[in-house]
Amino acid sequence: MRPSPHLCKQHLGWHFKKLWATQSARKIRDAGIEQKLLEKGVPVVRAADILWEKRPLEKIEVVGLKPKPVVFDHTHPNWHDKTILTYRDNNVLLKGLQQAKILTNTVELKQGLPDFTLKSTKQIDRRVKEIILTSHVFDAEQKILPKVKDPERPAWNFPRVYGITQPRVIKLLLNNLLQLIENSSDLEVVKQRYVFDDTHFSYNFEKSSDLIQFELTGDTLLTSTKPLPPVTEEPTESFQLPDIHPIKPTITLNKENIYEVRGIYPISLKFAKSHPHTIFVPHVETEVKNLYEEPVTEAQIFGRSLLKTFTVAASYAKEKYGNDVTVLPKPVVVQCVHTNGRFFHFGIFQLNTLDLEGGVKNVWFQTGRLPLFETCCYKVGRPVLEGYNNEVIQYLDAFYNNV
Amino acid sequence: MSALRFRRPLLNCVKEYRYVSTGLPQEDQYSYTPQYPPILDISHEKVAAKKKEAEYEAIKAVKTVEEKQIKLNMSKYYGFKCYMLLEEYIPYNNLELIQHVTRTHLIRDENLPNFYNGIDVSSLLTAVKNDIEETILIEMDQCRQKVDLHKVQLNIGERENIVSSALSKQINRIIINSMSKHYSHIDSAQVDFNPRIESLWFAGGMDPPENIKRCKRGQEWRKNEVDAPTNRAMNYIGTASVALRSNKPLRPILSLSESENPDFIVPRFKLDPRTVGTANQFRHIANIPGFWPGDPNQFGLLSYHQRGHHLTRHYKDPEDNLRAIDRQGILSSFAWLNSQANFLGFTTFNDVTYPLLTQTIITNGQLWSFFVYQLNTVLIHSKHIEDNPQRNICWTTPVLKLYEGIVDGKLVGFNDQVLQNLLKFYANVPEERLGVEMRPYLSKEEKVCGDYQDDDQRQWLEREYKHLVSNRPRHALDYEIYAWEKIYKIDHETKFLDKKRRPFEYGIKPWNRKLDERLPRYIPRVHRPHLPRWKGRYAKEYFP
Repeated sequence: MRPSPHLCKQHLGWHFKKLWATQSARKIRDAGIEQKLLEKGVPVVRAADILWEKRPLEKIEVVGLKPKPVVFDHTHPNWHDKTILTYRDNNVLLKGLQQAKILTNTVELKQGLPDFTLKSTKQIDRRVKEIILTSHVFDAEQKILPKVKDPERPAWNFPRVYGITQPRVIKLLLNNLLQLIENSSDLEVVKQRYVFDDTHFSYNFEKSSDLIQFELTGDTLLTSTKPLPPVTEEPTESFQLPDIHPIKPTITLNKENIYEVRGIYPISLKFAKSHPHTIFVPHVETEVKNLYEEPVTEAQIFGRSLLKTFTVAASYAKEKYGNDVTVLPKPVVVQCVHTNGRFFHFGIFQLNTLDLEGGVKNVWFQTGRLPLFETCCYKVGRPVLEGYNNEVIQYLDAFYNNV
Repeated sequence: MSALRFRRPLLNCVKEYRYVSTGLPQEDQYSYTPQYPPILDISHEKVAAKKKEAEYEAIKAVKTVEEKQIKLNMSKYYGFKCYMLLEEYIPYNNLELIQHVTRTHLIRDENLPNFYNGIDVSSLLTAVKNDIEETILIEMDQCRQKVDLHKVQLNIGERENIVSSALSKQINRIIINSMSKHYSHIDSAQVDFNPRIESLWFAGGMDPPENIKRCKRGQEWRKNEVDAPTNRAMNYIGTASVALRSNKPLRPILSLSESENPDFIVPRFKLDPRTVGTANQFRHIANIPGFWPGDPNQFGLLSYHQRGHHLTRHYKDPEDNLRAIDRQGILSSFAWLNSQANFLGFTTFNDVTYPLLTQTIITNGQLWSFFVYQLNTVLIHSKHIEDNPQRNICWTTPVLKLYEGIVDGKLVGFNDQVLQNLLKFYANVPEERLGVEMRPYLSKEEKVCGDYQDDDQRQWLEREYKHLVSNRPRHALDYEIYAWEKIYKIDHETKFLDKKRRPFEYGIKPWNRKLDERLPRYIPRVHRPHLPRWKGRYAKEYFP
């Protein structure tokens, strides 16, 4: 090749890179200087120690940083070493009603409710049908609803439906039915009643060295100026509690170490209308689930009603009679309406004692699950209500007017 | 996706030039006096206005409520550019704008209008007063507990709203319980809790936005209308804590002719609403008064609204705070009445033929404001902003205190006037309008889609209407002209040698898609009726 300017050109950048690479790979060999100097008694010091002053790292508090997320372990302020077993709105008991009876020391004296006079009129039935259509079909909310699944075709995805969410359906239905009953009842009875929305109850107790707490949030409570009279005077010592051996009665209660032990009755007893009369428990199917992914059975729903009613009655009794009471001087009676918008479950609970290991037992009466209707939806473009059952409004009316 | 929608201009040409010839009989071809056809003004403005008139007449001719709402949406597949007027968000100095777009004359008075003097509520007052005092004490005591128990971080406005919604419900319950035995309209009234209220109407008389001006400057035949005022879609979304509805309308306070009085001044707002803090969104037209068509209780009686959001407005202007209350009252009343009117067959293009009334209360438990709103007209678009002699009237009281405070568990300074006003609202009996055609623009037999006999049509219409007004977000991204295309192809033609591939390069505007420009539902061969393949493939569509 002739020595042209092109041949003699050097890529400065390439040369620079190559030099850098070789220099970075260069190892510093130990020439033995340090050892020889130390043998001669000359002190040898690192240059960095003389040139650069040592500065300790200061920790600086910066204002305005996000607070650290709360860690749920033993450093949490509410940590207790003793485990508590809680029952809230979203879990159900494994063995349903039987287990609830053991936990709350309750017996059922007979099947069904005590005798009620049930009455209905055509006009009220007509109004109830209008109310069902209003709350299930005509309300204009459009929120995304839970996925529809066919158990026989589990892989098939149905199109998502927009409509009224179940909590809203239950809220509208209960409010409208209550208003209808109040409109058609005597003014004297109505004047005695008060409707509390969004009430919060909490009752805690010890049973065979387990600390247990029941909590209720966001339910509608009907109260009255006078407490309900006891339903039955029958002695309950001779009745046996159900036996679910080998299952422990505290199974499927949540075990928690971070908790606050609270006893809450939401209404101050200084008000006249503070005596609990009926509790309306909503059953929202997306929230109330089993831990083990099985569908919720009827017995479990009955158990839920019982526990909720017990919580209301017990927290009221504790507020009224004090913390140390066992057998109550006057039994506390609370009625319960448990609904999911279509099925209604009615129950009456008589709290005789807060001593849940004693001989005197509490009493529970209940109906089965009564459907209010078969179907209520838009069918082929028209709003349709089929299979209306007028028993439900009769029971509701009787419950409301029970003095 | 059908390519047919890109060929719309071609399709339109074909439709216009199709003609039918009929032979006239000999006698009809002659007459004694000459029958001149009407002289039409062929200026661009008049021709466009005539076309719009024909569209409005077509909407009027539609038979049912849902089909009218679908037809209103027909011209825009992707939705209308709406100016969002929300209940909870009240920008500074918003009252003038709201009065202009709702065509409302505001009358401020210490008392309710004289119409209410004839309603006697003294016996009711004694019946409910004690219960209401007890309720206030209970709720104030209990609500503080509720907020602490839930341990949720709430701002000061949300805390107040919990108390006010609870109190509104309780007071409503007490009054209904006392009145239901003696007043049948209260007994049969429908009570709603937090209903979904949405309303859309077109308001004119505001200066055009810059993009419209630029568009008109670029078109020769529209150069002289560059500064002409344009219409804007005003969209209200809000809710009431409690609303009462009945199957009969309230009696109007003024007749339609009395409302044409020019002394009822409505302020003019000429600027774009964005200058006072209103935002834009693309939505379909949805007029929903809290229920679906077919509900028998169609007329609103009264509604309670919350005012917690006023506590989080920090403009430090006490006068503007008072104007904000008036703005909330006027807007929520007009919007609820407008959506009720849409369910009666009227639309923003077809005016109401009789007045509608509603009563609105804005309260936080202690502070109460009362509004009585009479809707005389919904025609506020285009030239009607100047020509329409009708005005909507709103009477309002100043902010009144129901009680001064709670001392030692007792109410202090209970104001009977407030309770009297409230009871008068409840005791205002709705009456059937005799001799008035309530739904003149709906068909006699079929008022809602549920009345149609054809199953397929009913199902299709119900599904389409609900999907349209749900305003669900779309999965597919909208068509977009990228920024580099706007710069290098449209604004400055630098890419003239490139192959034309994009729709805008062929003059096609994918945004100009009508609601019915879509493929119908595909029917699998197994489910098809016995028809030739090209006929049975797609399901029938029932666009109005």
